Amino acid sequence: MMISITSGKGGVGKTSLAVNLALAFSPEHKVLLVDADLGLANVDIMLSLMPKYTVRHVLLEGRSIREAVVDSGYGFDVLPAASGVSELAQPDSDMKEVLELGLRHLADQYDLVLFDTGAGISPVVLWFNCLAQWSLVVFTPEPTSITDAYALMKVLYRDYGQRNFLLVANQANEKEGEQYFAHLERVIGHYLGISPIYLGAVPKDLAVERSIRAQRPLLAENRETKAAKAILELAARLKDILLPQEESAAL
Amino acid sequence: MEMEKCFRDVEEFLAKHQGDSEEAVNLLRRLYRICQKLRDQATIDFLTGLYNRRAFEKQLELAVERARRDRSTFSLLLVDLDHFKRINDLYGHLTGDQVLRQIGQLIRSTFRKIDIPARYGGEEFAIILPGTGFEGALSAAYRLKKRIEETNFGSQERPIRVTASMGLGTYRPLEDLEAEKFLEKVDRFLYAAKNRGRNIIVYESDRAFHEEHLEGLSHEEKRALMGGVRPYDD
Repeated sequence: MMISITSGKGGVGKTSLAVNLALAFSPEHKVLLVDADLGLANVDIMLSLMPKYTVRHVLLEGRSIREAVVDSGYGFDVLPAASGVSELAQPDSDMKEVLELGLRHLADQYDLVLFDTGAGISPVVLWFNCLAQWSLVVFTPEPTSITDAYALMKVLYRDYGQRNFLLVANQANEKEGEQYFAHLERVIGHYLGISPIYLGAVPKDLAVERSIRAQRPLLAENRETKAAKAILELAARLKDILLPQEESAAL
Repeated sequence: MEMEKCFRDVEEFLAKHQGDSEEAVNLLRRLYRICQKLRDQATIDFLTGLYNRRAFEKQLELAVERARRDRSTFSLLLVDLDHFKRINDLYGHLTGDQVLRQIGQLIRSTFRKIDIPARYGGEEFAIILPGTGFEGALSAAYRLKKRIEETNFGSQERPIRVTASMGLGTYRPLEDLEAEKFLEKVDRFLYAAKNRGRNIIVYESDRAFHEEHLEGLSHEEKRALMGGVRPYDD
């Protein structure tokens, strides 16, 4: 199962959420977190990793994708991206083919593969969203973030046919999250004719800020803070949604 | 593909034997020109200079194959001139041909170099827009429609006005349609445009897209998105 974590707008907390969701699923589930912002790595920094090989060695130097996968130290694996490699910002179709083959091969060995995509709606962001069965769209209660999240879903649905959307309100309390989701759901239903699924909200929490600065995931530090609890709830809901599919796939 | 390779081989050979005046080389050169002409005749519509239907169908197959492989998108615009028979009946076939030629020029100058314009049938045209999503294709379609409307295809004394009906579709890689099925789908939009009184563009009926040729979100969508956003204290 592949899920992309995406947002349109940058700085809404995608990577932090991706890392913590990966942690929430581990170790019961085998998780691979892919830094899908290929040329501008974030995940390794958030986890304070020093990977020897990155996706750069796979795409530009012909290494096998297996060699680039590293243990995060928190019970899940990471496929790191390169830092400041502009050739990887928009991979050509040969690179995409290599990447897709590699990722599909890896996906067989994991229960869950998460793509932490870059911001924006560049072709490579759309490509990862189409490779994944689900797009998990993160938004914050700001007009710019909501507009960008909607615009991303519109392009993904209308030009690419992606209709499986999971929504998460970040930096929002429960009530806000529900209200904003209900609103987005109405607009999406009205204009695009599809129904996204709401996973829940993650409240503003100083502990998140602190964990990012310390380069240690929140869920590894303290599972009792309000943001940590909310992320665990999100993960539980995600499991409920994905589980029926896993069962049917096993049959 | 085999033909293209053969052409390249012969070109290379001829370049290498530039100065040679042997009979064989000259003969080969003549044969080469004839082959090129035949190839053009097989792929180019002689009246408009656009691709012909056969070449179009091949290009559409390739576009679908590429979109499926890369999970990329492209758009297809079908254009049918309204009441074209009347022009032939009123002004004669030579004038009719002249109009078709001019439409061909309008199409060529409206679209980009990478787009693939074809004459699909008598007064029907098709344009493949590689890598282009719905909005980009729609704004190009509106541009063409407007230019056709604004052009006088006759003379000052005897103006000839033409309008066109259009069907527009964007290929969604995750829907995984065969080229033929996709063409049928867009053809249904064109048919609907004819049925709805002509001189319009018909596409998948999403309400958001009724506002004319806006890139990105429509004003209506933006208003709707902002409508429910209330500042909230934590």
